[in-house]
Amino acid sequence: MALLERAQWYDIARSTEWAPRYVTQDELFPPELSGGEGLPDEIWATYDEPYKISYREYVDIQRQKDAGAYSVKAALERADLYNKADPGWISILKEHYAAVALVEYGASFQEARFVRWSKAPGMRNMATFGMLDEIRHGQIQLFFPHEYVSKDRQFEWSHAAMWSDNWVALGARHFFDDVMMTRDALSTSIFANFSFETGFTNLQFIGLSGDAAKAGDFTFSKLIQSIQSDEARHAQLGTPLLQMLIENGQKEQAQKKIDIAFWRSYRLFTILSGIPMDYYVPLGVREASFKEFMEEWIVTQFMRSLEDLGLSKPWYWDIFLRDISEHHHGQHLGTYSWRPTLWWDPAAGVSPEERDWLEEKYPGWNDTFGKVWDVLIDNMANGRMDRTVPGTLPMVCNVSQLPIVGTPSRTLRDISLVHEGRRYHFASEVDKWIFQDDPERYRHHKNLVDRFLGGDIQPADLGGVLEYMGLGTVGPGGEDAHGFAWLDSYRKQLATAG
Amino acid sequence: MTNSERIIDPVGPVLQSGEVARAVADAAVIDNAGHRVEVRDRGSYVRIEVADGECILRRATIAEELGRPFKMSELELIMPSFVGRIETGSDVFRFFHTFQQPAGAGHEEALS
Repeated sequence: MALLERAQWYDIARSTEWAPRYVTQDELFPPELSGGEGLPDEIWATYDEPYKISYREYVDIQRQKDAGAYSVKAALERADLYNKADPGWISILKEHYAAVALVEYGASFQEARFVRWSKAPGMRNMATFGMLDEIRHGQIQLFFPHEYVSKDRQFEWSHAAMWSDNWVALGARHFFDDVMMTRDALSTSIFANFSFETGFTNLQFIGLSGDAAKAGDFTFSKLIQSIQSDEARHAQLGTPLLQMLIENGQKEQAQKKIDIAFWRSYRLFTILSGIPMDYYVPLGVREASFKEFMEEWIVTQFMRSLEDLGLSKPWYWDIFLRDISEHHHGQHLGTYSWRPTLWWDPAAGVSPEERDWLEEKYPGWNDTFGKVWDVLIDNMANGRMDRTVPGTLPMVCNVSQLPIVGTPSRTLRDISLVHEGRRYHFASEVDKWIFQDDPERYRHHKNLVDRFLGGDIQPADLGGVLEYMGLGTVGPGGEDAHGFAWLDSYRKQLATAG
Repeated sequence: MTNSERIIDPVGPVLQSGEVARAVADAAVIDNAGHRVEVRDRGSYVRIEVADGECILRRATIAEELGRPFKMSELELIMPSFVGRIETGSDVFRFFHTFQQPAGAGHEEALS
């Protein structure tokens, strides 16, 4: 049977507009859910999704994607990756699945809201496929780690972490609730599809795939590229919306949405991608540093797409460029030190050879972050483990919900303000700007330290905090990924020096 | 990049390394005659970059390079990202920029 080419019928099929007679337009598409106030009514029918696909094509292609990923997994299950891979690599899998799988399921709701509330028929059509994409991502990233659960209970966090009040989960949920779940359809698409998906998800889902293949984890390498091939399509939903805003006198509003989403996404990815890429990936298989991946995917590729729309770099560009050599190193020191609060076993990543690599990629690392590690290593090598675990809680940012870090003795400082009688702390001027732009949105949330100091966590000691976060009850917490084996070379140095 | 001169305003797909990626790279050279084409191998993925802000990929050319029938929608199977905007027809994909990047402009400041 001869089939028409897609282009010959597509425009008619997606034209699902009608004039409501029983309700007003605003009742059908409430502004707080649909967005786009101030745009002319006739504009929505002109929305032209750049990446078109038919349902027939979608089912055909998605079936092949799943067949590819699942067959690689099936073929390699007997390769016993869990016991053969470096423990640092296994930690990346634990961190990734728990931070990502349930969030992907949440993203299916985001896309489902577009299907219902977007005023653009073309967007409603393509978002239907986006919704199916995200259901696939939720399911496949719960299924793939399941084979490891019987070997290592930390893999149970793949399903459990996002339901818990673990501090990393609190930070991630706050971010995704902000950018993905609680804004109108138009804004959400610019925040989540354009800024988050065409920008930052490439770092983790493509950048890390090279490291995965080199580490022998072809299953994970194939999986994350397969997922990102869906993202590359549905992430295009935001671009026509940006154009509509710009052409109708709302360029400043468009830019601001991107500036907020860009910074918040970046800060989350310092934990999700930054730490693993520079510390957990075994040294011999590192494709590039986090900074180099950032330069490839964000500084070059994402910024070019902004420029092509006639938009600018975010106002804090200089702060951002300094930050990509800095922030994730601080977060690594913090997460490693507070390792009992993690659902994975962090790799220290600071053996003498690894420090040479860090110094090469981040000149000056040894003189700054390295000096803090010198003290930690000295205590560890001399058996003073009690001195290597912090006795107090960190300051936590009231926007990113992540610990406030910086370069020791250089940029580490607290930025705070008082809003309606409550003091808020921020990890940067940018986080403070985000808060000040919309305090009503952020003022009520309590970060983990607010909860502790406010008496929500009992007993108010380390044991109480761990239990509050589900550590030791929902699943086991973290310890050094390599059982401190990396300290041996430092102990030898000590013995030689002694 | 081995070529010392910076490629001007590159656009094009980012593809999972393999047989189809190689065929697409060869097809890109044929379908974008007159424009510089660079293939940057990044291990598990390759960047196919066509200079001057436009990259055309034709189904027929890819099929010929592959030696088997090819549907343009199959490209999605191996395409986790792309540079530029996209138009997706049944016989042609086009990646393009609408705003020409001036020669020499770029974002090298962070690449120190």
